Amino acid sequence: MLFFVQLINGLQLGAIYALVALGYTMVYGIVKLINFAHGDLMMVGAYLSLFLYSSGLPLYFALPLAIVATSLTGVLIERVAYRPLRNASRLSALITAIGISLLLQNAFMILFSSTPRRFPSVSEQLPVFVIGTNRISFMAVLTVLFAVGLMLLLTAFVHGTRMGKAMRAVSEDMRAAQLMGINVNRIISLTFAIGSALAAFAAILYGFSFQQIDPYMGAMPGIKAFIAAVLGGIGILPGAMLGGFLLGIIESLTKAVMPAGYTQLADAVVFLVLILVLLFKPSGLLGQTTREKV
Amino acid sequence: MTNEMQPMLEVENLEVFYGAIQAIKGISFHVMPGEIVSLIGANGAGKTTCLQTISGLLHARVGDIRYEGQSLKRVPPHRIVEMGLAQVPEGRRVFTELSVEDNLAMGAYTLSDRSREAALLEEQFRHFPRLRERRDQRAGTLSGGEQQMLAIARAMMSAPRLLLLDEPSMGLSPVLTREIFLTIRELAKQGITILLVEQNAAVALRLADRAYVLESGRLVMAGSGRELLRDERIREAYLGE
Ligand SMILES: Nc1ncnc2c1ncn2[C@@H]1O[C@H](COP(=O)(O)OP(=O)(O)O)[C@@H](O)[C@H]1O
Ligand SMILES: [Mg+2]
Repeated sequence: MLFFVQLINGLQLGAIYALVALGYTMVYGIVKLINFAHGDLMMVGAYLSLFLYSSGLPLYFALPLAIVATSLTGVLIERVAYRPLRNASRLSALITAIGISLLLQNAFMILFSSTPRRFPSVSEQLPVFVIGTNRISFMAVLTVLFAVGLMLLLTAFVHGTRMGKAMRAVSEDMRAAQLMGINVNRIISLTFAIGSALAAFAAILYGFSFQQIDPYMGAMPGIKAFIAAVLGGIGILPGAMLGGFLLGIIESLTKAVMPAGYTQLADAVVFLVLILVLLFKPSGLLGQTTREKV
Repeated sequence: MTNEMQPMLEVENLEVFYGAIQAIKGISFHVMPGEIVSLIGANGAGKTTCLQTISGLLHARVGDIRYEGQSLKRVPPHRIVEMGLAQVPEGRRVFTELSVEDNLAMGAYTLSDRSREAALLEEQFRHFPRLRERRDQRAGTLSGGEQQMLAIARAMMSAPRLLLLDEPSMGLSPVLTREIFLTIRELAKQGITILLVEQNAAVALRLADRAYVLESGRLVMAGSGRELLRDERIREAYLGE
């Protein structure tokens, strides 16, 4: 029964990784950049949500506004930091991404201090499911549903709309896409906008689930989401989702079987997963069969 | 008559570099409306570089390119397509993950009129019935010849007035090459101006109204297709006789 509870916890955590991983994988698919600042955009989304809510806006207004603002932040970062380096070496772009990550963490530490903040709670208003002797919070269910729903929406967008198809075209062959008259810069901005909005969604779900946010909260989930993206096959949307859920479950179950005081080892297990994937299936779980990239 | 007309495309004193390497060393040529002009040259002569510069993917260090009298310098690639100048790139470069129909839709990306797009799609399917049969198939599953047809049809979806083709015969059998060249002639008959780049000089010269010969980034010869076909040096160097 403990297993069942941990499984639900794992899915809840995994849903958050999955949303962040979707952004990682989309951006990688289109500009072949591992955007190390992506996890920190989740932190930005969390602070913006809290800030707008604390300034007196109702939640249903503060949260969408925070999502839009985070999305614009992502677009802005691409514009000023990554675009000038598009034809530079991959290494300089990667180092810039790490720089942006540190910049965001430190900027928010100066703005809001490193003391963790309490995120508004909604769980009191939500029902609790009781299955046997287990209590499952509605928040966990909601988090999973949200993540899956957003992934389905994104998949529909990428396969069913003209812009989504252009996104796939740019991701496969940027030059050929330019020869079709596709404004590649606009498609790249759109990709960052969607990826960053998903990070903000993840931030809100994270805040509601764990109640606490701090300027470094994006670092670990960011790295884990990156591992999730690699696990599923980087550049592949369903892969990011699968990788996120698997990683969340692995982490949760490992924590459950570790003796008290050693739960930190769960992180080591997660990194072990990365090493194993890179050794045995570098293209990721869905890497060969579905070669759908974005 | 042609002297009074304005060239459709004018390339003037063009120089293009890759870092310190100069690939195009000051070339000038033009294409008149309705013409088929071939640019022939060996591998590495600078043909692709030249076409990519015209389409705005590369930037000239020196010189200018004018399309219908308007300079293309500083015009981004997607605007150049909007202006009616399309390119079928070397190696086809179809979007292998997209269906045939979605590839064609990408070709029409600059069009805002959906009914026009539908008419253009119908026209491509009439030209290439094989593409209609395979419209829902992933482009990556097509044969080389079918991919080349798709690449041409895709470029035609933007309803261009000037079409650049970069080695459309590359990797194709003589039969398929013939088929592709008949298609190009067909497009020209419809009034589309053609600039064709080829290593396969024999077919390119036979098709062309006029042709230029490019060697190591320089134009070394120009003339009508027939003249060049008869030229001793051309026969020796490019037709293997
Ligand atoms: N991306 C590049 N970087 C450096 N040199 C290049 C690049 N592309 C082409 N070149 C060089 O420019 C010259 C012209 O190449 P290209 O235009 O591809 O010739 P062609 O299409 O006639 O075969 C060649 O010497 C080639 O090696
Ligand atoms: Mg070439």
